[in-house]
Amino acid sequence: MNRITRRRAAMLIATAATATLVSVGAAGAQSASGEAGPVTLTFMRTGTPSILHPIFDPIIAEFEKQNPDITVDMQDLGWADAATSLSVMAASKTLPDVMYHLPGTVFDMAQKGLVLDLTGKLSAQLTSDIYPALLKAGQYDGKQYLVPSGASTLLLWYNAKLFEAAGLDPDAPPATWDEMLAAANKIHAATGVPGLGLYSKPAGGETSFVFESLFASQIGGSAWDSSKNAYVYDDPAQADNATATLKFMQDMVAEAQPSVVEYGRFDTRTLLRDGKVAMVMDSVNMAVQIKDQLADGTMRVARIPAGASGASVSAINVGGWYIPTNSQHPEAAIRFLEFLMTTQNQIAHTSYGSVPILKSEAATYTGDYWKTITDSVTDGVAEGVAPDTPALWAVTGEQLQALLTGDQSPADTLGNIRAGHDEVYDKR
Amino acid sequence: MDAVRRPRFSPRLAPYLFILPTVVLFVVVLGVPLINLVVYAVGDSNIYQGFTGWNSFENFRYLATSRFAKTIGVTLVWLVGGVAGIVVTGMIVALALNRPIPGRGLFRALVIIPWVVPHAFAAAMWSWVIHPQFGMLNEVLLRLGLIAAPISFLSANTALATVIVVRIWQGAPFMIITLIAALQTVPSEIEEAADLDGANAWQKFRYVTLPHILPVLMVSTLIISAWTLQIFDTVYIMTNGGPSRATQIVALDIYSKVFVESDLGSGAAIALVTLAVVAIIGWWALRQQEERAA
Repeated sequence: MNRITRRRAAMLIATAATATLVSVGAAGAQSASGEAGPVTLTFMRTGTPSILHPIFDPIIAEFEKQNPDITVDMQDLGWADAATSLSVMAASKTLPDVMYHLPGTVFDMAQKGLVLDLTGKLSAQLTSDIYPALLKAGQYDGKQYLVPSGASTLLLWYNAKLFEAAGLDPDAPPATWDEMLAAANKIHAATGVPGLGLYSKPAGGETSFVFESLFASQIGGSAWDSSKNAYVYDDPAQADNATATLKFMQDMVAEAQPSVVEYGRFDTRTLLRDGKVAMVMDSVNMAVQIKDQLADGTMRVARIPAGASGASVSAINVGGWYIPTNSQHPEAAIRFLEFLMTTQNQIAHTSYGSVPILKSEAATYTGDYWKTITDSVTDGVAEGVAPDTPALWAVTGEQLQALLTGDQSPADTLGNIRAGHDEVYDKR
Repeated sequence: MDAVRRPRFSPRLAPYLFILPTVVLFVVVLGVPLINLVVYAVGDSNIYQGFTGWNSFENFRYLATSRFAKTIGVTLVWLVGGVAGIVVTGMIVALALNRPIPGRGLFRALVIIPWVVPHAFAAAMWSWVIHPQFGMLNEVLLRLGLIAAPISFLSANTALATVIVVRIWQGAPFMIITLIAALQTVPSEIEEAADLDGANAWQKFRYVTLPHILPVLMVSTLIISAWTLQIFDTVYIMTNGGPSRATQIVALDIYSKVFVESDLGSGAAIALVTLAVVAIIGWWALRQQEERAA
């Protein structure tokens, strides 16, 4: 009898607990769809928290002031932990309501139904203000999964003093591949300083991005065919252009610092800053490293030299905001995302290291420095990204390392890249 | 006087009941991940959703590629070079520190340092030390006039040797500690008898010392081998598997498949096969030792 009573009591408690959980869940669901009642959004910008909080804390405070029913909880995630943390959060459906990440990962998750399609959900004012190439970089299979909020183009950073020491005009930086090799050679001969800083330590996206940008300049257009989700240079019809680009990369090694495979991007930034190389092709993040020298004119920036097409065309890689499908408050999340993308807030975010994302933002920047950077965006093309991009980059990066160490000819490198890419394409 | 209560279970069950908690712990800690590994390896799996469907052993196709063959070759060189280096270095240092030299206690304490330095930190530190432009080692060699130009320690031809040396630096202290402990169990009267018989240093080591420390040496070598095969962070930080896969060991290949290429299935397949191979080698080595002891 006593045992039965206990069992009944346990059942009653369990029923009550279940009812409570269901009611709480229902209340949450109501907040999610109808935004009735207070809502807490979780928000994550992958990167260095000590730099990001001073940027985003005031933005969040202003948003909460304008939306008293919404609280934003900013959480931290460093890039080093991003891949593993993201997979755990995605598997446990605990991804934050609004998160910043890179398109390859976001598209991979989108393909698995984990990311909200934002097509038609964003204001026309915002989508028309974002540079078209950047907006496109956030799309996969015609759907807008990512709203770009940070981006890089490849630029030529150079030391004006070393140019002058070699009898070169720093106001007329090299505009073609041949001019760049000649200038590098002349600087080395005159000053003893290697003309170029080159990096290929990470076997992946960084060197692939250089190759993709140079190839885009060689053909005067995108290196990525978004209709096929494949690289243009994998097409046999583009063999000559691809081989010429790889040959140029190999020629750069002769003018660069020794042991290029031991240098990453951060290393070559230090080399340029310290006057140990004269030119480096790198993203806008270089500016942080040489801030003072840019201000006093010792260091300058130019568009990357043109290939056979005669045009300087850089690939543009982006990072941006997305909303996971596990978000309990998608409407509030979209409202916050739109707020993050207002001109003033994007200007604040760009200070973390980015090219302009919005046309209205670019209009506020003045001077040759910003004109060069903005032009690289307007003339740029979206970097090719698909869910299997990391696998494609791994192949390209490894083969480029073999090319840059002199172990492989440009033709063999192209052949191996294609063979490796074909294996990835076949898996689709 | 109260009657003695009879136990509820047969005495024959008692040993099994005593080991039950351990068995349960093993099933939870090892069994569940192992089952997951098998499931992921035989199916279409990704890091976000886990197993999503059967795919006819498609994940094992990668194991038959030339890329994986190169990984195996690199791993074998890494394993043999690293373990042999650790054993030889450990033996030499242990023998030296077993002699009554001044400051022996201090030296014994100092040799442990590389072992307690976290692998990630050690890898970053060594990367800086050997860097061709900013590294201390090249700077010292240049100033001493021993080299004319900086040495590229992480080029395609030298990277594997360099990471093996760092592995030896990290792993030797464990071998030194265990061998010093084993050397202290060698009976001094047998060594004295060998001296009286006119045995030279090599003969004393070969016929007196080595047989006594062999069981410890075998087990330590087995442990070091397993650890060396598991190493990931050192190589990842120093070379990320490059240049051109010159240092792409199995642990990096698994990471690359799972977290870079988002191919959990192939990563699990590599891990499963590696686990099986290591288990067989470990079982064989332990059996050999048992037979020798018998």
